[in-house]
Amino acid sequence: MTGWPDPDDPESMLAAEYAVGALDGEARRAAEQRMAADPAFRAEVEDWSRRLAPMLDEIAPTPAPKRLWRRVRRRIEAESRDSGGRLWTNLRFWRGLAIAMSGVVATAALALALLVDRPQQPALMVAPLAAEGAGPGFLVGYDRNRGEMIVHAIGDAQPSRQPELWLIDDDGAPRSLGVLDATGRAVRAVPAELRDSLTSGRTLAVSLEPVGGSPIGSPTGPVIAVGALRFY
Amino acid sequence: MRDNAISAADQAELAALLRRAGARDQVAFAELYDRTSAKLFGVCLRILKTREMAEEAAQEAYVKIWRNAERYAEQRGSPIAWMAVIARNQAIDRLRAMPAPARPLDARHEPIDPAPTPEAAAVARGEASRLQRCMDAIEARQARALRLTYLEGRTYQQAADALSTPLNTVKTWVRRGLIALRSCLDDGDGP
Repeated sequence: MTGWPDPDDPESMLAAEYAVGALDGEARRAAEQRMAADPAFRAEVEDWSRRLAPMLDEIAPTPAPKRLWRRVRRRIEAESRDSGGRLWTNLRFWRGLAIAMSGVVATAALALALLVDRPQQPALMVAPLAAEGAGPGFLVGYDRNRGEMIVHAIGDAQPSRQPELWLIDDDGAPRSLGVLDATGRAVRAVPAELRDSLTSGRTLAVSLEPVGGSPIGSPTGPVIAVGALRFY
Repeated sequence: MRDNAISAADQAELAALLRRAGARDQVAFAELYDRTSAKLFGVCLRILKTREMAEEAAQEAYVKIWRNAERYAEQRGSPIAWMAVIARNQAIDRLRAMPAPARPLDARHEPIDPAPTPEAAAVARGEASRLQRCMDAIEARQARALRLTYLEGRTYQQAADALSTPLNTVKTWVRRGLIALRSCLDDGDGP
């Protein structure tokens, strides 16, 4: 029930008074306890809190000292370290994506399962690269926080050539993200200068190169798979 | 003039950044911090008065925002309001925990009438803040009492001391002010 509180009935005003911050000592503690025990009271406090919040617009912003960010960031990083491992721990997701891409599910999922650490909610970006022809497709996963990338082929990679992964930058120029191994797999940190380019919508592609990768910094062989990077 | 108000487009961007932060995206959280730290630090500083205490409160607020980003949803109001309230709550907790002699409440140096600066008020009004219009519409002494408690973090007793007014009078001003405010905000669908 949400009736209107009565200013002449102090008991009914408690939620509003707590939200506005007027209570102290025993009254404040009692209100806090009631918040924990009484969902209707808590909801009433939150209603008042939302009503009053725009009053904070009257307070002029003050630039925070630089060291505040350092302190916040250290706390966030410490919590993230404690709570999880790599991005590709969401095995159900990888299985689902592999199924969507092709019938070759078990190999990809099993290979990725070997990298599973503790589960967490990652800053995950993914690019399913669909095969341009009869060859394999690829799954690319990218962990924004760690700057780490994993690539796995779905289907059989061509053993005599070296697959190489590229991103297509804003000018349409290909930039190498490195070669994949004979099975079409790679796990590595992305060079710092390329991380900013790994944005949502970015086109990624795999080409077949001589062993060791392209000697000229752009694809020399056929592009066998293309896709776009997206947030998961 | 520093623009105190945030547009609807900005709010949508902040909401998106909060969602990303909820997905543990630290890059998005860093951008969220950049865009909101002045407001949140300003709120903490207004309530706690000292930069050191304000930093502690703001730090804790951002950690809490990181932990709870997933739980923000549009029904909880605008993203910046959600965040600012978290910051205010951290500041109030610290204020209440301070031993009485250390509380920075020297009435001679504190503004008795914590009304917004003309600039801030104009900006707040310009952004069509219904609350600002309602604060202007209710009795001035009720509005003043609400500002003392909400923006300055005074308890009833502290507000009474600051205004040199009996405790019960201040309670009446705050209570009636809250109801008048609600009535105005709800377009007069009052009791």
